[in-house]
Amino acid sequence: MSRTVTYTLEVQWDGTSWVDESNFLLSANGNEEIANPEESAFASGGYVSEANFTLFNVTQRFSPTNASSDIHTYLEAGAYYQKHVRFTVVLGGTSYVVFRGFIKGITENARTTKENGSVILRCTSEDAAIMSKKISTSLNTTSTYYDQNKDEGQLIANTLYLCGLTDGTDYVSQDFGSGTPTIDRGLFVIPWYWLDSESALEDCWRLAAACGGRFYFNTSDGKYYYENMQQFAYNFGGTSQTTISETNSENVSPLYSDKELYESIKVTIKPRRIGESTVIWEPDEILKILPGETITLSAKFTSPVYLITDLIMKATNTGGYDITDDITKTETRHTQGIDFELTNGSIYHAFLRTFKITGQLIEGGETVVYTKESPNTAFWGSRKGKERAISDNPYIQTFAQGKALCDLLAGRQGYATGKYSVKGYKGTVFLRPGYRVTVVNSTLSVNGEAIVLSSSWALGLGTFDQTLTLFATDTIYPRANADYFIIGTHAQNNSKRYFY
Amino acid sequence: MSGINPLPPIVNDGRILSASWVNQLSECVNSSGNFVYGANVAYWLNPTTQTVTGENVMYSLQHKYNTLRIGLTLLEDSYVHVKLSKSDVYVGTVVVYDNHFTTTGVKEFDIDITNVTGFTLADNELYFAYVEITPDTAGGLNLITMVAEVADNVIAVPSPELATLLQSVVIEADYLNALRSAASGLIAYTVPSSVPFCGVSTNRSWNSTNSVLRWNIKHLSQYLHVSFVHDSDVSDVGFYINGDLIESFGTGNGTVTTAIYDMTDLPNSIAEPAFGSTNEFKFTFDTDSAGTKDFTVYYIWELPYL
Repeated sequence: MSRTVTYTLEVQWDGTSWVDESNFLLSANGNEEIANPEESAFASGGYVSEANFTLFNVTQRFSPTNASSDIHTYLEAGAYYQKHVRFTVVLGGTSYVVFRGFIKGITENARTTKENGSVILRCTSEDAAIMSKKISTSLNTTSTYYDQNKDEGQLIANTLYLCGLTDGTDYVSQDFGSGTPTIDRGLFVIPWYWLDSESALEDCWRLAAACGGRFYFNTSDGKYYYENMQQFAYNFGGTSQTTISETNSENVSPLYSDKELYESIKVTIKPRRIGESTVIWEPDEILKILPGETITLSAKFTSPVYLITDLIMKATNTGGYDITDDITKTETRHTQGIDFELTNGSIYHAFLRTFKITGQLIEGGETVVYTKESPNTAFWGSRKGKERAISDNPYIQTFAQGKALCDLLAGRQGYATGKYSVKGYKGTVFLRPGYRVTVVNSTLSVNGEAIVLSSSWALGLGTFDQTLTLFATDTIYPRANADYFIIGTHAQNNSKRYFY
Repeated sequence: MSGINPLPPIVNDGRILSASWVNQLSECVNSSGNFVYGANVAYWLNPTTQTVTGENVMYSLQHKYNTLRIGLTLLEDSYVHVKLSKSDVYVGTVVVYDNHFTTTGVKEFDIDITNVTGFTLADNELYFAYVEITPDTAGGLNLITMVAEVADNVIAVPSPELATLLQSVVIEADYLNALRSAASGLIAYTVPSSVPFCGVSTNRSWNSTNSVLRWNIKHLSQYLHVSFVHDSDVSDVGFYINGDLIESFGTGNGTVTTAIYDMTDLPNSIAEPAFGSTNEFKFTFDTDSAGTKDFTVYYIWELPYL
């Protein structure tokens, strides 16, 4: 099967306009994973995509030290850092944005007598920017969201909002009201939500993993997506996007490994409760504020807080006279701390004799451990397998949630399900992690559907192909998608089934 | 709402219905039942044969519902005023009720406190109600039996009302979300409130006719817990329900007396009151005429356990 391939590499040097650098592109490669490759592909942390673009640099256009370059001001002194990059490939007439991210670093291979110069733009996908963005939730957010019964999709949308991203542009929440949501309706209410100077991206991954879903940055449209536990019943994960076979790939082989094989799954559920009102913080020593001085004071609590009930402050001068009224206080309340600015407006040295914060902490409740063994009792009856323990995710907070997650994984990972490796795929559809495809190897009698777990792609001289690993859909869910009860479609007498 | 299981999330048409959603809804509704029959505290009847002014009697309330219900038992024709204030020192009062009752007996009336000129309350705001009674002639015992905020249709009927499902009816997201909202409405009214028991201490004798040691309580839980202390020379203590003697106690000695009664098996063959009925409990006793010996009631409340 012949396939025409064209490509475009663009860089936003000035931060606004895309500049086509395709004429300098020698080669490119990148990868994308459904989850951290060090962990299980399901209910685990996410993974930031990477790409490298090797550019012809005989004119030293891309050398940061070349003052004569047209783009020198955008390269020198680290100015290249986090310039946006977009790589598009047209396969068989259909355009795909294969990568969207920014420059993380430049590797320069200087020109020699034997080689023309080249540079490698080392890039990461855009979600890497919110990996290092630390955010904290306000006290009001945590208590309000508890009262409002928010699901994981709503919480993820709020985390993105706290990062400074825009609903409707960078993501589309269920509550946005128009357009097609990129954040799925959540399947579980997560009672307690808070961040205490934590990575926004990692927190979104944690939330998604706690609910059996997946959070990722979609390089195709540049938006953030959350797909819930039912992701392989709909859209790209629910319907085969293409057929992979030896006619469009160099090699299609089964993989036999026990990486995703477990005899049992154990999930630890950590509910929380509102504690009694008590003193939750006071400084270790008496604080002194000089006349006219402003000090900052950070009160960090041992646990997140539901409600601050009182703040008792008493300041005296050296002579013991009460000058509390001369101390002005501003505060920023986070879920797990308060930042104060205290200004002594008097002419005396002020000593904070009393500074007590009372409130109700969100305390840990009684931990519940739910274990489910693989339904494949015939297989495990004569074998000893691994147990997968999910014990450190604070967003697994209700029994219904923990049970659903555990049952899902026990059914999915309790079987020696087929996996596949595909090398040199040259189809007309660019395949991404989470896509459902049909895998065929007639020689080995392979013919079934599978989910793409990882994709690495490479552009060479006149070629573009992908290397994929896949997980057969036999045990993705215990039933075929058509067997499930669809809200708004089915009635009680349609003989359909509940999901987990 | 610590202790209540959270609701399941909102659902969309086109998505698969999950068992965890249904189970979560069930757990949520079931757990709200734990709060309905918590501690049930007796309400002091504030009996008097005299004129009652706001300077004598003050009721503290936290605003939750729109109607203030006043219950009285009048043994004399009386003028009744109800005043509201945000101050606990009888200043800045607003009159919300003013009536001259020319018949005696049980009286009950509602006051819409959302429509009071010059007096606006925020949710959960603390305020004070003064119930004033001026009998035409001093004589029989007047009782203030109720001062409480109440809500009509406490648990709102789901709107639109939930349809009866037939086997052939497609279950849509609107129906499931309405089911969820109905559960949310149920939970909203099961927030337990901390109702104080109004303990009373007195150093004079009281008999079954004039005793001021009277409390009303709705029968909701199985066990009635009672605690009091009486000094030496306080004797012939009687504890009654609706005028029937439950138990007699001898002369006191300053130690606390605690008793628990199984309402399904009361002493002296007293029948269990109807569930939800309001019942009057009272103490009577004699004390020395010098008025130096005290009788103090610590608590009367029903609990679902011993």
